[in-house]
Amino acid sequence: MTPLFALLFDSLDERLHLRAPGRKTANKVFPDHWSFLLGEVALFALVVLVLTGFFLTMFYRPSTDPVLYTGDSELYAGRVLPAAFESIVRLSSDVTGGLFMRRLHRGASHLFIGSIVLHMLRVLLTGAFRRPRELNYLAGIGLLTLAFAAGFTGYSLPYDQLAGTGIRIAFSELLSFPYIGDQLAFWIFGGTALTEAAIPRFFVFHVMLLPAVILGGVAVHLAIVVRQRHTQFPRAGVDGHRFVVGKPLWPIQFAVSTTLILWIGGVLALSAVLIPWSDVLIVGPYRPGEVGNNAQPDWFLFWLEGALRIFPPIEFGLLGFVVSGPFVAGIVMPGLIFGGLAVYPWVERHVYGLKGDWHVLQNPLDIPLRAAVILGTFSFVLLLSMAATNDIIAVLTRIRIEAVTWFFRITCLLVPPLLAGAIFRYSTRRLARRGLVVADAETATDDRTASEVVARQAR
Amino acid sequence: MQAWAGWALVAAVALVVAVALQPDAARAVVASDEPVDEVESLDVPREQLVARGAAIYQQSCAQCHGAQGGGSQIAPSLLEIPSTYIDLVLRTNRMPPGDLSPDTGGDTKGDLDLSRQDRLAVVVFTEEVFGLEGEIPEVPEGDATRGLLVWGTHCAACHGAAGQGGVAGGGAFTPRVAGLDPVTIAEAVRVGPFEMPRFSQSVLGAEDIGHVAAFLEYVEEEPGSPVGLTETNPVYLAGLAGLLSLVVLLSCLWIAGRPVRFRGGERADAAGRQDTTGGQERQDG
Amino acid sequence: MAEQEPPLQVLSRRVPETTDTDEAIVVTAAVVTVIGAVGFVIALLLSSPLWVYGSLLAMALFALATGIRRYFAAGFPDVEAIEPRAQPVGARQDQDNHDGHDDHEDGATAGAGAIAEVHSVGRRPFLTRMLLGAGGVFAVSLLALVPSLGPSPGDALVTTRWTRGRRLVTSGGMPLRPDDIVTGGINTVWPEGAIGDEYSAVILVRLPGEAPQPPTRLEWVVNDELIAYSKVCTHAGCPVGLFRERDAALFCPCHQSTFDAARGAIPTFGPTARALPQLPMGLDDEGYLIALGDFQAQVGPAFG
Repeated sequence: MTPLFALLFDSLDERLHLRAPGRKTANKVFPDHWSFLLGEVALFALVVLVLTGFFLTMFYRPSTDPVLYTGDSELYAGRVLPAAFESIVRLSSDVTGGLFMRRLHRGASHLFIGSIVLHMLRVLLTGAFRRPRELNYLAGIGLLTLAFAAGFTGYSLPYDQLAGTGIRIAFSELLSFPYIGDQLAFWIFGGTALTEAAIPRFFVFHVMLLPAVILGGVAVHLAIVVRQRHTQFPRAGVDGHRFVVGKPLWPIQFAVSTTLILWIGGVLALSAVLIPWSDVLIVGPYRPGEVGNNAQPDWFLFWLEGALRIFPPIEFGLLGFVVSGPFVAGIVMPGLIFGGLAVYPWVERHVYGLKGDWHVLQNPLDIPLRAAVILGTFSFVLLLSMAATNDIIAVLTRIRIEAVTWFFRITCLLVPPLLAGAIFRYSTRRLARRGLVVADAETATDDRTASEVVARQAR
Repeated sequence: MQAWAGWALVAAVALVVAVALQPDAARAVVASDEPVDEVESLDVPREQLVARGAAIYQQSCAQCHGAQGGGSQIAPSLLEIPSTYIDLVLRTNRMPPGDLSPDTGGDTKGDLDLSRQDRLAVVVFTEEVFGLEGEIPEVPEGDATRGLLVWGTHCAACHGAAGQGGVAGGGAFTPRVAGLDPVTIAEAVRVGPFEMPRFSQSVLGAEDIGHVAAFLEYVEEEPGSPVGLTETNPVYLAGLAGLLSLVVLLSCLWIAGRPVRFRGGERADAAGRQDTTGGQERQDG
Repeated sequence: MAEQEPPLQVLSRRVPETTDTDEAIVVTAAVVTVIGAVGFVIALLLSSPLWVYGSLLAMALFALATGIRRYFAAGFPDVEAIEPRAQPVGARQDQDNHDGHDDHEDGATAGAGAIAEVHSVGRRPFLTRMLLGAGGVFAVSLLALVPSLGPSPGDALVTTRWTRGRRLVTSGGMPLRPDDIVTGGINTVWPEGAIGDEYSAVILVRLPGEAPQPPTRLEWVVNDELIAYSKVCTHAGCPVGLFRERDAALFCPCHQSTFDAARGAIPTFGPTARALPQLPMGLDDEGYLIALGDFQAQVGPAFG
């Protein structure tokens, strides 16, 4: 410690008594595996989103009132535009660093949702959702849903033609809700002019409500991890059920995290240079009655879009409400998937008769049901996502779009169950070959105490 | 494992840059490199043009469209169409088609590449011999700003917001039109070739077409990012987001996989000497 | 690893005498809270003046405050306790200054692992439930503000701005005669005076060859070839902007719903299950295209 730093630290310490909690924090042990960093990447992306978001909010105008654009962009010189779109044109063309900030923000949103999905995949595959972490797992699923909502409302704010198309489809989705669909849509969108009223609403959701809930949720999520301590991969000679093995926060984990964050920041900045994330200038503002060919939402909603495209035509009455394609494909199906994922920890516990707490991660191939459910669900979601690109596939391969759609209709139904069944069989046989069964409790592999472990390692 | 991850990371970044440098996948029929022409008068006598046109027609068109232009089983009759249509398909090399499948589902570019004089010779030939009528339209200079307005109302639904083309169902595809010259655009709008609907003077006037042409030229000339990417569609952006995720994954592997080494190789605890006296002993930094 | 927190160091403890008055007050307060909360909801939904529902809400809040305070004051011992500061070793700590009351005299004992150390005097589940219920009703009553977020749909999704005699105009406001659309041509049109009203968007088609067939309403077709359909896709509301001349098909770019324009725009492919409503169309005295009335089928996606 330099003398100045020591002086500062001492004066803080005299007032706040930081030494003991500080030491406790600095000594906190973090299990060490590269896949545990995905959550940190998500957190970093969130910080970038909030900081770039502050900047963007200073320029964005949440309104669709006509405004005359008087800036430098050639394409919009002297044109009257909706205020939201005009503010985006101004930000992109006339504000120094504006376009870069917009790209960073959008790129960080892709990073945010992408790393959450990868993190969720890791949690699912390795069984970090098992008791006592089910609550945190549910919080994570909640955060994923909120991230989707934040992403959708966010890219709708510029009110460009593509965004307007998405808002219109979202309105129609809400309409398809049984009994109260139309009233629900009117409440959330603020009325009939479904896109004009939507922008101020989406602004409130995206800038106030969702960040508040997400930040609160992240705080809860992290607090639970700190309280319950992180899970870890099995390690020879250490009872992971009783001990956490890893690197202390200071200095190693701090070094790793800081390096990672700065590196990812660099990757993000470079991507904003090379890739025009969210450049909407050519697309133009949204105007009623207009649409552009090749309309898709952002990638994280591809699975819903694909479901909408390939779902067979249905519309019939049931118990006094209308069951339509958008209702089943856009509300029932995602509800079932999220619901299924949410209850999975309890399903696994019940099926295998699991007992007690679990702190050591497992190989998913050791639990046939888990391997099958994950592969089945994710292959289904992936195929649906590919179905959303059916028009691009048709253009690239010159196969008629009807054939492409039918291809996805068939594969989305057949392939996931087949894959799930195949890996279930493989996993069961693999266990049998090794003479193992699915463990139903995390037994102590080692009954030494912590100091005995340390002593033995040091030898 | 760390070294492997590091090299994989470098390879992934190289892959990103290589992919980003690829030209647009959906390359469509592009007009031949000719200057925008006006209604011209060539210094060649009409009979010579007709003869030249007849020769080209017999060689390249007659086997499908018939020697008298009456069509056949695999090609429609040419006797009821405006001669502008002939000019259009020849100047864009849409006809004769690159592959001779009867399905009109692709805009397969042919390689006939007629010169301006030859093309007009064929047009004049069809006017003389088949009795077709039509004129090469004149297109005034336009304004890209107003072109975007017209484009959104009438064209974007089929040809995409940036003129990149797309599907129209039933085996039909709308071609990429960014970068076409104004006369080609004007001819297509009036003729409504193949599946395309037709737009009359009152729906799309000549000035509107000029604006559209200016807009499409603006789109074509937009430089984009340093690797040439512009306004990419969400699907391509999804691919790029996937590559970004891959880079992030490999970064995690690489950064977490490498040990943090201390100088001297001692396994000293990171905080320096043990601080056991409750904070009274200061370390020199 | 059990975490042992030291017990509360009690200085003084005063056990209150719970009377019937106290109980009555708590019960009344709970009831008044519920009345105020429900009154707030009803007044708001009936669009009463501000002073009415505002006062009811205030009344509910005052009542809840009163009830909660009386519940605790009359039902829990008033305890004064001390707690050491985080001083270094050497500072004196006041210990054992309490007046010798035994925990057990007050009724409940602290069970092993319980959080609360100061327990209520006697058990009063009825009062507890009353207050919790009142608080719950109050919290739920705040949802009465949700209907203010948007209007009731009414017939906004069922009727459009098309009326009998309303001219079809382009986005630029120009009315149309049949000759303005060439064979095989299309145009997007709006009701005159309502350009841009999303649900009123119409696509006007001049069929390229085939004559229109049932289920097209032939009496709404002009010159046997000009037909107008709603442009709002019956699947998810995107504008159906593509027209294929070859088979007179209207094609929606969003999810590839395909409609046969010569046959009443019935769906031929894609996820939509319902035809595009046909606009009743005719000509007025000056030869301009006009609507003969509103659509007679549901425009856009299904709901309800």
